[in-house]
Amino acid sequence: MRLLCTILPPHLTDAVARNGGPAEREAILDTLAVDRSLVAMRMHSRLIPSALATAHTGLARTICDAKNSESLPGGEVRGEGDIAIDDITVTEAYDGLGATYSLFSAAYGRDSVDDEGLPLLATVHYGSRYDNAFWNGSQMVFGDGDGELFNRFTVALDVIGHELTHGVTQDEAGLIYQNQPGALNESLSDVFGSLVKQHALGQTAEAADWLIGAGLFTDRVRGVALRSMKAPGTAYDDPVLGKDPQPARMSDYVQTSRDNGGVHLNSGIPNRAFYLAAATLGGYAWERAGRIWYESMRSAKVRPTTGFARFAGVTVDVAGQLFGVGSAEQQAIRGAWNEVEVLP
Amino acid sequence: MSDEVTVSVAIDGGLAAFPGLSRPVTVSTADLPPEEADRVAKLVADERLFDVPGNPPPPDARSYTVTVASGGTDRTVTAFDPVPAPLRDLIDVVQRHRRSA
Ligand SMILES: [Zn+2]
Repeated sequence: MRLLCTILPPHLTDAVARNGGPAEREAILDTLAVDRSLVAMRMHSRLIPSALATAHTGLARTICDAKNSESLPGGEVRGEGDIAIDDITVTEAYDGLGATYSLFSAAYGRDSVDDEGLPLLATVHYGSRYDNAFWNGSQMVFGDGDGELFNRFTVALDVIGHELTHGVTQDEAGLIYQNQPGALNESLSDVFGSLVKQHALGQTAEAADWLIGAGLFTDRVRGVALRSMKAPGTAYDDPVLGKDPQPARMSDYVQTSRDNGGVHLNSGIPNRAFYLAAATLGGYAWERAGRIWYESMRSAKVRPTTGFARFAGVTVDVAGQLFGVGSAEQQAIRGAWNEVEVLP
Repeated sequence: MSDEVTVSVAIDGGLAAFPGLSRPVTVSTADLPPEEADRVAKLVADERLFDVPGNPPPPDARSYTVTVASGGTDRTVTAFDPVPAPLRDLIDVVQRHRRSA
Protein backbone atom coordinates (compact mmCIF):
# COMPACT_ATOMS: atom_id res chain seq x y z
CA MET A 1 0.00 0.00 0.00
CA ARG A 2 0.96 3.62 -0.52
CA LEU A 3 1.37 5.73 2.53
CA LEU A 4 1.68 9.41 2.92
CA CYS A 5 5.00 10.39 4.40
CA THR A 6 3.49 11.36 7.68
CA ILE A 7 2.44 8.99 10.37
CA LEU A 8 1.85 11.28 13.30
CA PRO A 9 -0.26 14.38 12.83
CA PRO A 10 0.73 16.48 15.86
CA HIS A 11 -2.23 18.83 15.55
CA LEU A 12 -4.51 15.89 16.31
CA THR A 13 -2.67 15.19 19.53
CA ASP A 14 -3.02 18.85 20.38
CA ALA A 15 -6.71 18.70 19.56
CA VAL A 16 -7.19 15.81 21.99
CA ALA A 17 -5.25 17.73 24.61
CA ARG A 18 -7.65 20.63 24.15
CA ASN A 19 -10.91 18.79 23.64
CA GLY A 20 -10.60 15.38 25.32
CA GLY A 21 -11.98 14.49 28.77
CA PRO A 22 -9.84 15.09 31.89
CA ALA A 23 -8.15 11.67 31.87
CA GLU A 24 -7.36 11.84 28.19
CA ARG A 25 -6.14 15.39 28.53
CA GLU A 26 -3.82 14.44 31.34
CA ALA A 27 -2.48 11.45 29.46
CA ILE A 28 -1.92 13.45 26.33
CA LEU A 29 -0.35 16.36 28.13
CA ASP A 30 1.98 13.99 29.96
CA THR A 31 2.92 12.47 26.68
CA LEU A 32 3.44 15.81 25.03
CA ALA A 33 5.68 16.69 27.92
CA VAL A 34 7.83 13.69 27.06
CA ASP A 35 7.62 14.13 23.31
CA ARG A 36 5.21 13.60 20.48
CA SER A 37 5.22 9.92 20.94
CA LEU A 38 3.65 6.75 19.69
CA VAL A 39 1.85 6.48 22.97
CA ALA A 40 0.01 9.62 22.02
CA MET A 41 -0.82 8.18 18.68
CA ARG A 42 -2.25 5.04 20.25
CA MET A 43 -4.18 7.21 22.63
CA HIS A 44 -5.84 9.23 19.96
CA SER A 45 -6.40 6.20 17.79
CA ARG A 46 -8.52 4.89 20.66
CA LEU A 47 -10.21 8.22 21.10
CA ILE A 48 -10.93 8.96 17.49
CA PRO A 49 -12.49 5.82 16.04
CA SER A 50 -12.61 7.14 12.49
CA ALA A 51 -10.09 7.20 9.68
CA LEU A 52 -7.13 7.44 12.06
CA ALA A 53 -7.93 4.20 13.78
CA THR A 54 -7.61 2.15 10.62
CA ALA A 55 -6.97 -1.39 11.74
CA HIS A 56 -3.63 -2.07 10.16
CA THR A 57 -1.46 -5.09 10.71
CA GLY A 58 1.71 -6.35 9.17
CA LEU A 59 4.75 -4.74 7.68
CA ALA A 60 4.21 -1.33 6.05
CA ARG A 61 7.38 0.55 5.22
CA THR A 62 7.83 4.00 3.77
CA ILE A 63 11.18 5.50 2.91
CA CYS A 64 11.43 9.24 2.35
CA ASP A 65 14.29 11.32 1.01
CA ALA A 66 15.13 14.64 2.69
CA LYS A 67 17.49 15.44 -0.24
CA ASN A 68 20.10 16.73 2.19
CA SER A 69 17.73 19.17 3.83
CA GLU A 70 16.65 18.96 7.47
CA SER A 71 12.95 18.97 6.79
CA LEU A 72 11.10 15.82 7.81
CA PRO A 73 9.92 13.55 6.50
CA GLY A 74 10.81 14.54 2.91
CA GLY A 75 9.32 13.04 -0.23
CA GLU A 76 8.41 9.38 -0.49
CA VAL A 77 10.77 7.36 -2.66
CA ARG A 78 9.72 3.79 -1.81
CA GLY A 79 6.61 2.31 -0.25
CA GLU A 80 5.83 -1.23 0.88
CA GLY A 81 6.14 -3.71 -1.94
CA ASP A 82 7.60 -1.19 -4.39
CA ILE A 83 10.59 -2.35 -6.39
CA ALA A 84 14.02 -1.14 -5.36
CA ILE A 85 15.28 2.17 -6.70
CA ASP A 86 18.86 2.94 -7.63
CA ASP A 87 19.92 4.27 -4.22
CA ILE A 88 21.75 1.94 -1.85
CA THR A 89 20.73 4.07 1.15
CA VAL A 90 17.04 3.63 0.36
CA THR A 91 17.55 -0.10 -0.14
CA GLU A 92 19.41 -0.48 3.15
CA ALA A 93 16.76 1.47 5.06
CA TYR A 94 13.92 -0.52 3.47
CA ASP A 95 15.62 -3.86 4.11
CA GLY A 96 16.67 -2.80 7.61
CA LEU A 97 13.12 -1.91 8.59
CA GLY A 98 12.04 -5.29 7.24
CA ALA A 99 14.73 -7.16 9.22
CA THR A 100 13.75 -5.31 12.40
CA TYR A 101 10.07 -6.05 11.91
CA SER A 102 11.00 -9.65 11.23
CA LEU A 103 12.95 -10.15 14.49
CA PHE A 104 10.18 -8.71 16.66
CA SER A 105 7.48 -10.58 14.76
CA ALA A 106 9.17 -13.97 14.39
CA ALA A 107 10.82 -14.15 17.81
CA TYR A 108 8.31 -12.32 20.00
CA GLY A 109 5.05 -12.19 18.03
CA ARG A 110 5.13 -8.38 18.02
CA ASP A 111 3.34 -6.54 15.24
CA SER A 112 5.63 -3.58 14.62
CA VAL A 113 6.82 -0.89 17.00
CA ASP A 114 3.50 -0.49 18.82
CA ASP A 115 2.37 -4.13 18.44
CA GLU A 116 -0.56 -2.73 16.47
CA GLY A 117 0.99 -2.70 13.02
CA LEU A 118 2.37 0.83 13.12
CA PRO A 119 3.60 1.77 9.64
CA LEU A 120 7.37 2.27 9.70
CA LEU A 121 8.80 5.48 8.36
CA ALA A 122 12.44 6.30 7.72
CA THR A 123 13.97 9.40 6.20
CA VAL A 124 17.34 9.07 4.48
CA HIS A 125 19.77 11.71 3.17
CA TYR A 126 18.94 13.93 6.15
CA GLY A 127 21.04 17.08 6.40
CA SER A 128 24.37 17.85 4.85
CA ARG A 129 27.19 15.46 5.69
CA TYR A 130 25.14 14.68 8.80
CA ASP A 131 27.03 12.31 11.13
CA ASN A 132 24.14 10.76 12.98
CA ALA A 133 20.91 8.78 13.06
CA PHE A 134 18.06 9.34 15.49
CA TRP A 135 14.48 8.49 16.41
CA ASN A 136 12.38 11.65 16.60
CA GLY A 137 9.50 10.12 18.53
CA SER A 138 7.66 8.88 15.47
CA GLN A 139 10.18 8.01 12.76
CA MET A 140 13.80 7.15 12.02
CA VAL A 141 16.21 9.66 10.54
CA PHE A 142 19.53 8.79 8.86
CA GLY A 143 22.36 11.06 7.80
CA ASP A 144 24.80 10.37 4.97
CA GLY A 145 27.88 10.85 7.16
CA ASP A 146 30.66 13.28 6.32
CA GLY A 147 32.64 10.72 4.31
CA GLU A 148 35.77 11.58 6.30
CA LEU A 149 35.01 9.90 9.63
CA PHE A 150 31.63 8.34 8.97
CA ASN A 151 29.95 6.47 6.16
CA ARG A 152 26.19 6.60 5.58
CA PHE A 153 24.31 5.59 8.72
CA THR A 154 22.11 2.99 7.02
CA VAL A 155 25.19 0.84 6.43
CA ALA A 156 24.85 -0.88 9.82
CA LEU A 157 21.75 -3.05 10.25
CA ASP A 158 22.06 -2.96 14.04
CA VAL A 159 21.84 0.84 13.94
CA ILE A 160 18.52 0.61 12.10
CA GLY A 161 17.33 -1.92 14.68
CA HIS A 162 18.65 0.36 17.43
CA GLU A 163 16.58 3.34 16.23
CA LEU A 164 13.37 1.34 15.82
CA THR A 165 13.81 -0.22 19.25
CA HIS A 166 13.67 3.31 20.70
CA GLY A 167 10.10 3.30 19.41
CA VAL A 168 9.38 -0.04 21.08
CA THR A 169 10.85 1.15 24.39
CA GLN A 170 8.85 4.37 24.16
CA ASP A 171 5.71 2.30 23.63
CA GLU A 172 6.39 -0.25 26.38
CA ALA A 173 8.62 0.82 29.27
CA GLY A 174 8.58 4.55 28.42
CA LEU A 175 12.03 4.92 29.98
CA ILE A 176 13.04 8.56 30.33
CA TYR A 177 16.09 9.52 28.30
CA GLN A 178 18.27 10.66 31.16
CA ASN A 179 20.80 9.11 33.56
CA GLN A 180 20.33 5.41 34.43
CA PRO A 181 16.87 4.95 32.86
CA GLY A 182 18.27 6.66 29.77
CA ALA A 183 21.32 4.39 29.70
CA LEU A 184 18.99 1.40 30.07
CA ASN A 185 16.89 2.77 27.20
CA GLU A 186 20.09 3.01 25.12
CA SER A 187 21.11 -0.50 26.10
CA LEU A 188 17.75 -1.97 25.09
CA SER A 189 18.25 -0.39 21.67
CA ASP A 190 21.72 -1.90 21.39
CA VAL A 191 20.50 -5.31 22.58
CA PHE A 192 17.65 -5.58 20.08
CA GLY A 193 19.64 -3.78 17.38
CA SER A 194 22.32 -6.44 17.69
CA LEU A 195 19.68 -9.19 17.77
CA VAL A 196 18.15 -7.83 14.54
CA LYS A 197 21.53 -8.33 12.88
CA GLN A 198 22.15 -11.75 14.44
CA HIS A 199 18.65 -12.89 13.45
CA ALA A 200 19.08 -11.66 9.87
CA LEU A 201 22.46 -13.39 9.57
CA GLY A 202 21.37 -16.53 11.43
CA GLN A 203 24.24 -16.11 13.88
CA THR A 204 24.62 -17.79 17.25
CA ALA A 205 25.90 -15.87 20.27
CA GLU A 206 29.36 -17.32 19.64
CA ALA A 207 29.40 -16.27 15.98
CA ALA A 208 28.09 -12.72 16.52
CA ASP A 209 30.51 -9.77 16.70
CA TRP A 210 28.44 -7.97 19.39
CA LEU A 211 29.45 -4.66 17.85
CA ILE A 212 27.12 -1.72 17.32
CA GLY A 213 27.73 0.23 14.12
CA ALA A 214 30.38 -1.94 12.47
CA GLY A 215 31.10 -0.43 9.04
CA LEU A 216 30.11 3.10 10.03
CA PHE A 217 33.67 4.38 10.33
CA THR A 218 35.67 5.19 7.23
CA ASP A 219 39.07 3.54 6.99
CA ARG A 220 40.67 6.74 8.33
CA VAL A 221 39.30 5.99 11.79
CA ARG A 222 41.15 3.73 14.20
CA GLY A 223 38.29 1.66 15.43
CA VAL A 224 35.85 -1.10 14.52
CA ALA A 225 32.47 0.28 15.61
CA LEU A 226 30.61 2.74 17.85
CA ARG A 227 30.39 0.32 20.74
CA SER A 228 31.21 -3.22 21.76
CA MET A 229 28.68 -5.06 23.89
CA LYS A 230 31.18 -7.82 24.56
CA ALA A 231 34.02 -5.53 25.59
CA PRO A 232 32.70 -2.01 26.31
CA GLY A 233 35.44 0.63 26.05
CA THR A 234 37.38 -1.10 23.26
CA ALA A 235 35.48 -0.17 20.07
CA TYR A 236 37.76 2.70 18.99
CA ASP A 237 40.82 4.66 20.02
CA ASP A 238 41.35 7.42 17.50
CA PRO A 239 43.23 10.74 17.44
CA VAL A 240 40.12 12.65 16.33
CA LEU A 241 37.28 10.74 18.01
CA GLY A 242 39.13 10.00 21.22
CA LYS A 243 38.96 6.69 23.05
CA ASP A 244 35.77 4.67 23.53
CA PRO A 245 34.62 5.83 27.00
CA GLN A 246 32.15 3.04 27.81
CA PRO A 247 32.37 1.37 31.22
CA ALA A 248 31.79 -2.38 31.59
CA ARG A 249 30.88 -2.54 35.30
CA MET A 250 29.13 -0.44 37.95
CA SER A 251 32.32 0.56 39.74
CA ASP A 252 33.29 2.40 36.53
CA TYR A 253 29.88 4.11 36.09
CA VAL A 254 30.41 7.58 34.59
CA GLN A 255 28.76 10.53 36.33
CA THR A 256 28.40 13.32 33.79
CA SER A 257 25.96 16.03 32.78
CA ARG A 258 26.82 15.54 29.11
CA ASP A 259 24.97 13.20 26.77
CA ASN A 260 21.81 13.31 28.94
CA GLY A 261 23.81 11.98 31.86
CA GLY A 262 26.01 9.64 29.86
CA VAL A 263 23.25 7.54 28.28
CA HIS A 264 25.60 6.35 25.51
CA LEU A 265 28.39 5.70 28.01
CA ASN A 266 26.78 3.79 30.85
CA SER A 267 24.73 1.64 28.48
CA GLY A 268 27.96 -0.39 28.31
CA ILE A 269 27.11 -1.92 31.70
CA PRO A 270 23.71 -3.51 30.85
CA ASN A 271 25.02 -4.22 27.34
CA ARG A 272 27.75 -6.40 28.76
CA ALA A 273 25.28 -8.07 31.12
CA PHE A 274 23.18 -9.09 28.12
CA TYR A 275 26.22 -10.33 26.24
CA LEU A 276 27.37 -12.39 29.23
CA ALA A 277 23.93 -13.94 29.69
CA ALA A 278 23.66 -14.76 25.97
CA ALA A 279 27.19 -16.15 25.79
CA THR A 280 26.62 -18.35 28.84
CA LEU A 281 23.39 -19.72 27.39
CA GLY A 282 24.80 -20.14 23.87
CA GLY A 283 22.76 -20.75 20.72
CA TYR A 284 20.61 -18.03 19.19
CA ALA A 285 20.63 -15.10 21.58
CA TRP A 286 17.17 -13.87 20.60
CA GLU A 287 15.58 -17.14 21.72
CA ARG A 288 16.31 -17.12 25.46
CA ALA A 289 18.28 -14.08 26.66
CA GLY A 290 16.44 -11.90 24.12
CA ARG A 291 13.06 -13.29 25.09
CA ILE A 292 13.75 -12.60 28.76
CA TRP A 293 14.84 -9.02 28.00
CA TYR A 294 11.82 -8.49 25.76
CA GLU A 295 9.31 -9.69 28.33
CA SER A 296 11.10 -7.64 30.99
CA MET A 297 10.83 -4.41 29.02
CA ARG A 298 7.08 -5.07 28.76
CA SER A 299 6.71 -5.80 32.48
CA ALA A 300 4.53 -3.44 34.50
CA LYS A 301 7.36 -3.41 37.05
CA VAL A 302 9.51 -1.47 34.60
CA ARG A 303 8.56 2.18 34.82
CA PRO A 304 9.87 5.36 33.16
CA THR A 305 12.37 5.91 36.00
CA THR A 306 13.60 2.32 36.30
CA GLY A 307 17.36 1.98 36.68
CA PHE A 308 19.76 -0.92 36.20
CA ALA A 309 19.19 -2.79 39.48
CA ARG A 310 15.42 -2.76 39.26
CA PHE A 311 15.50 -3.88 35.63
CA ALA A 312 18.01 -6.60 36.51
CA GLY A 313 15.66 -7.85 39.23
CA VAL A 314 12.82 -7.98 36.71
CA THR A 315 14.91 -10.02 34.24
CA VAL A 316 15.72 -12.55 36.98
CA ASP A 317 12.01 -12.82 37.88
CA VAL A 318 10.98 -13.12 34.24
CA ALA A 319 13.61 -15.80 33.63
CA GLY A 320 12.12 -17.72 36.54
CA GLN A 321 8.60 -17.36 35.13
CA LEU A 322 9.57 -18.35 31.59
CA PHE A 323 12.13 -21.07 32.28
CA GLY A 324 11.68 -22.03 35.93
CA VAL A 325 13.08 -20.83 39.23
CA GLY A 326 16.67 -22.02 39.53
CA SER A 327 16.80 -22.86 35.79
CA ALA A 328 20.03 -22.52 33.83
CA GLU A 329 18.51 -19.45 32.17
CA GLN A 330 17.76 -17.76 35.47
CA GLN A 331 21.22 -18.57 36.80
CA ALA A 332 22.88 -17.20 33.67
CA ILE A 333 20.95 -13.95 33.94
CA ARG A 334 21.71 -13.51 37.63
CA GLY A 335 25.37 -14.34 37.07
CA ALA A 336 25.64 -11.82 34.25
CA TRP A 337 24.25 -8.95 36.35
CA ASN A 338 26.48 -10.00 39.20
CA GLU A 339 29.58 -9.88 37.00
CA VAL A 340 28.87 -6.29 35.96
CA GLU A 341 28.25 -5.42 39.63
CA VAL A 342 24.59 -4.51 39.22
CA LEU A 343 23.27 -7.34 41.41
CA PRO A 344 25.05 -8.70 44.50
CA MET B 1 31.46 48.47 11.12
CA SER B 2 29.49 46.51 13.70
CA ASP B 3 30.75 45.18 17.03
CA GLU B 4 32.73 42.01 17.12
CA VAL B 5 30.54 38.96 17.72
CA THR B 6 31.86 35.67 19.03
CA VAL B 7 29.87 32.49 18.50
CA SER B 8 30.72 29.17 20.09
CA VAL B 9 29.05 25.86 19.34
CA ALA B 10 29.29 22.68 21.43
CA ILE B 11 27.80 19.53 19.94
CA ASP B 12 26.87 16.75 22.31
CA GLY B 13 25.16 13.39 22.20
CA GLY B 14 24.04 11.62 19.07
CA LEU B 15 24.01 7.90 18.37
CA ALA B 16 27.40 7.69 20.04
CA ALA B 17 29.04 10.26 22.29
CA PHE B 18 32.60 10.73 21.07
CA PRO B 19 34.83 12.48 23.59
CA GLY B 20 37.00 13.91 20.80
CA LEU B 21 34.11 15.59 18.99
CA SER B 22 32.49 17.36 21.93
CA ARG B 23 35.02 20.21 22.22
CA PRO B 24 33.36 23.60 21.64
CA VAL B 25 34.25 25.43 18.44
CA THR B 26 34.46 29.25 18.52
CA VAL B 27 34.42 31.76 15.69
CA SER B 28 34.79 35.53 15.92
CA THR B 29 33.44 37.87 13.25
CA ALA B 30 36.82 39.62 13.41
CA ASP B 31 38.38 36.52 11.86
CA LEU B 32 35.74 35.96 9.18
CA PRO B 33 35.63 37.20 5.59
CA PRO B 34 33.32 40.28 5.36
CA GLU B 35 30.33 38.48 3.81
CA GLU B 36 30.44 35.76 6.44
CA ALA B 37 30.81 38.34 9.24
CA ASP B 38 27.74 40.17 7.85
CA ARG B 39 25.85 36.92 7.71
CA VAL B 40 26.65 36.19 11.36
CA ALA B 41 25.67 39.76 12.39
CA LYS B 42 22.29 39.36 10.65
CA LEU B 43 21.67 35.91 12.13
CA VAL B 44 22.45 36.91 15.71
CA ALA B 45 20.17 39.97 15.38
CA ASP B 46 17.27 37.62 14.53
CA GLU B 47 15.24 37.00 17.70
CA ARG B 48 13.99 33.71 16.24
CA LEU B 49 17.52 32.45 16.82
CA PHE B 50 16.70 31.90 20.47
CA ASP B 51 13.20 30.60 19.83
CA VAL B 52 13.75 26.84 19.97
CA PRO B 53 11.34 24.09 21.08
CA GLY B 54 11.61 23.32 24.78
CA ASN B 55 10.90 19.59 24.37
CA PRO B 56 13.25 17.06 25.91
CA PRO B 57 15.71 15.56 23.43
CA PRO B 58 14.55 12.67 21.26
CA PRO B 59 16.71 9.53 21.51
CA ASP B 60 20.06 9.90 19.74
CA ALA B 61 19.39 13.48 18.68
CA ARG B 62 22.47 15.67 18.92
CA SER B 63 22.31 18.77 21.08
CA TYR B 64 23.84 22.08 20.00
CA THR B 65 24.70 24.59 22.69
CA VAL B 66 25.30 27.94 21.02
CA THR B 67 26.68 30.95 22.87
CA VAL B 68 26.60 34.36 21.22
CA ALA B 69 28.79 37.03 22.85
CA SER B 70 28.99 40.68 21.83
CA GLY B 71 29.37 44.02 23.55
CA GLY B 72 30.10 42.44 26.92
CA THR B 73 26.94 40.32 27.08
CA ASP B 74 26.26 36.77 26.03
CA ARG B 75 23.27 34.54 25.41
CA THR B 76 23.19 30.78 25.27
CA VAL B 77 20.63 28.52 23.66
CA THR B 78 20.48 24.73 23.42
CA ALA B 79 18.61 23.00 20.62
CA PHE B 80 18.23 19.43 19.41
CA ASP B 81 17.90 17.92 15.97
CA PRO B 82 16.18 19.03 13.86
CA VAL B 83 17.50 22.52 14.61
CA PRO B 84 15.32 25.46 13.46
CA ALA B 85 16.57 27.39 10.44
CA PRO B 86 18.29 30.57 11.72
CA LEU B 87 20.21 28.67 14.39
CA ARG B 88 21.08 25.94 11.88
CA ASP B 89 22.54 28.60 9.56
CA LEU B 90 24.63 30.07 12.37
CA ILE B 91 25.94 26.63 13.36
CA ASP B 92 26.84 26.01 9.72
CA VAL B 93 28.91 29.20 9.56
CA VAL B 94 30.77 28.28 12.74
CA GLN B 95 31.45 24.77 11.49
CA ARG B 96 32.77 26.09 8.20
CA HIS B 97 35.27 28.27 10.02
CA ARG B 98 36.03 26.05 12.95
CA ARG B 99 38.89 26.92 15.20
CA SER B 100 39.24 24.93 18.41
CA ALA B 101 38.63 27.02 21.49
ZN1 LIG C 1 19.91 5.35 20.83
